Order: sequence, then C-alpha cells, then structure tokens
Amino acid sequence: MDLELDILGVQQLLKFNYKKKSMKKNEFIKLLAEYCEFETQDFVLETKFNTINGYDSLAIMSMIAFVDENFNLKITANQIRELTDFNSLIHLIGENKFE
Amino acid sequence: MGSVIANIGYYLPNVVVTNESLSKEFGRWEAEKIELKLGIKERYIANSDETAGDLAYYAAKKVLDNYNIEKIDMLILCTQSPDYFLPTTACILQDRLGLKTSIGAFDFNLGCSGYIYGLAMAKSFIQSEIANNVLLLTTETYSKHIHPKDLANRTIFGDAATATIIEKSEKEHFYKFVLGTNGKGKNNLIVNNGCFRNKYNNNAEEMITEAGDVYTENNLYMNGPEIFNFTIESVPLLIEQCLYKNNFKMQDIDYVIFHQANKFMIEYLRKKIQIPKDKFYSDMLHTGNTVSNTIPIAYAKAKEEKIIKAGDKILLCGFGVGYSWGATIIEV
Repeated sequence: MDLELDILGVQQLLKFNYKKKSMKKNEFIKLLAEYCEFETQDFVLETKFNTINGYDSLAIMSMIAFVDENFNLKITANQIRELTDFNSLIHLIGENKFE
Repeated sequence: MGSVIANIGYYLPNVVVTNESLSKEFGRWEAEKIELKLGIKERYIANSDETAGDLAYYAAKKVLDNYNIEKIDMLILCTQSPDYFLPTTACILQDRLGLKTSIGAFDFNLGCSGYIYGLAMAKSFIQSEIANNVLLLTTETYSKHIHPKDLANRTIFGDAATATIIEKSEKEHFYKFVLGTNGKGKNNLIVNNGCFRNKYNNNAEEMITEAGDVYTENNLYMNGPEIFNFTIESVPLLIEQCLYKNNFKMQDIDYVIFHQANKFMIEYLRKKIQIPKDKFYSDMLHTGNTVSNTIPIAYAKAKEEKIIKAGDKILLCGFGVGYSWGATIIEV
C-alpha cells in the first residue's frame, strides 16, 4: 500500500504490536511447529521442511503469520519457495533476531 | 437526505461440496483440518447449466417478492463470472425480474471488495438524485474458473448471490467510504485466459503448484502467500483510515464485518488490528469464501440472528483480487 495513504502513520503505529524480545532458536522451532500444527514436534535446525508431515499451503499461511507477529517481517512467496530447513528461515529473518 | 439498506437476501446454489468429499477425492487434507483452519465445512456450487445470472435472479427474487418492483430505478450487478461478454448481466436481469425499462442497469467487475464499491455507488446515485431505490446484486460462480484438480481453491471458494435494496431515506445511514487499488498485484489472483489478452486455450498445459494443486492458464490462479501478505499490509491501514475519515474510534463501532476470506486469515487480521472478538463476525462454515457475496451474506445472517440491531454502527471491509479494497461504516 502506498505510504502516502498512511494518513495516521499506522504502519509505524502497528509496529509496536510485535513482540520485541529476541528468541532462542530452539524455542523458535518449537513455537513455529506448534503454530503451524506440524504433526510431530521433534525438529532440529536442519530438519527439512519438505520432510515434515503437514508442511502444506495451510502451514505456510501460518508461517507467514508467525513471522509477521513475532518479527514484524514480511516473507514473500518467492522467499518461501527457496526455504529448505528451519535454519534457512532463521537466516531469512536475520540471525541477529535470535539469542 | 440520505440512504439506507432496506433489505438483504441471499441465494446458495444446490450442489453441496463437503470437506469429506474433498478429503476422499484428494486424500490430502482431513475434513476436520479444513474446518479447524479455514472455518469451512461445506460450500455450494452452481450446476454446469446454472450461471451467475441465474443465481442473481434467485437472490433478487428473495428481496423483491414483498417489494413494489416499480420502485426500483437502478440495478447494479457485481460479478467476475458473467453470463456473456456482452450483453451485460444486469440488462438481462432487468427484463427477467420484470423491472421497468426506465432504469439504469450495469455490471461492474470486482471480487472481494465489490460489495463496498456497490454500496458506494448506490449511496452516490441516491445522493445525486439519479436514483431513489437501488437494487445491488452480487453474484459469483468462481467454481467455473477453478480446475477440478485444484484442491486449495475448491476448498476455499463457494458460489452464491446476494441482493440488497438501498433506499433513499431522511436520515443518512451510510458514513464515508475509503477505497483503494493496487494493480501491481494483478498476477497473484487471476484467470489468465479467456478474454482478449490471452484467448481461451483448449490445449492449455496443466501446471502443478508446489502444494500439488493443478491448474491451467484457463483457470483461476491464486498465489496464497502473496494474497495473505497483501491483506496483512493493507487491511490494518484500511480500517484505521476508515475510522479516521469518519472520526470514530474502534470503541464507537458496534460490530465489524470483514470479507470472509477464510477463518485463519481474518482471525489473524482481527488480532493484529486488535478488534475485540465479540465485535467480529467470523462465519463461512456453510458457504466458504463466496467472493463479493461474503459481506452481504454475513450482514444478512447477523441481522437474522439478531447479532446486530437497528441503530448499531457496523464497519464493513472488503479486500482482494485486483488488488482492490474498500471499507465503510453503516448504521443499521
């Protein structure tokens, strides 16, 4: 949306909504897996998304929401297509956002 | 002088597609998972010989049966699956519904934002004394655009039609509108072939998405992640602008009706915008995402179930294909 339409600076205001505290990587994996309702929970940083039962377009919708809510970051369809494992998502979000 | 919604009705076609039947046919998503995540249990689709014009006719009959049809002096119809390239579906319905010939009638091509635009036009026609009683129809048969092997879109979308009568009134029941457009999103929700940019191709190649859904360029294509990103970016802003323009705060609003895209998406938007749960409509259980029909269906149901009552201020908000978006506030 054009910023010139942002009469209230809402896009700035909305940023206070997101959770600012940084996250541990294993906590991130656990929370994301729960949020996306992956069928098992024993994941490591190297777990490949395409081996996860339930990694489908519904889970991707959840992943977008999770990253937006926790990191105030938009991930595009092209970026999602190039994701391989949890590590690649953490890299995309930015290593500095994690403890 | 103002305008008011006098009556709303809707029509669902007869063919029901349940989650169980989709689950059985594709073996990918369990029926329960679809319902929990998307908030859809079943959706209705038109027969192969039933068109958007037919659906609109039945919806219109519901509101016109107890109405003096001589009063209708404008007919506006919103669809993206018209009966013909030409003539206009609204012209055909003027005749089929027995409306007088001294009226204006036209279609407009919008999707999930369409109802808001229809209300904006109805209000404008009444305010400018071009019309006194507007019949606004929304009707959609996206099922005809969708490839039979496209599970995602067959799961989300349902067909439907709605009819709204907007009348001139002493008191203005419509507040100000906010409308927006960004054509940069055109490729993310599109039927590529069939018009004149790309003609319908009988030999169109079947393509498979990463998710395993099949489509050709003749069919509806939706880039789900990009559409979701669009709503996350634009809807919070749209709501703020609509409240600001009308000098309201969220606490002044009695109820909020969003386009019922899918449960997960609108629930996420609700949380992001911090709209209280008890003020927020979320029900597409028996209809699915019916494009421009979801807002009037939700409004009609909320009224029927007495969730909203006379005097309530309702914020309506539509967003989607185009990209196109719009919001307004109405007093019931």
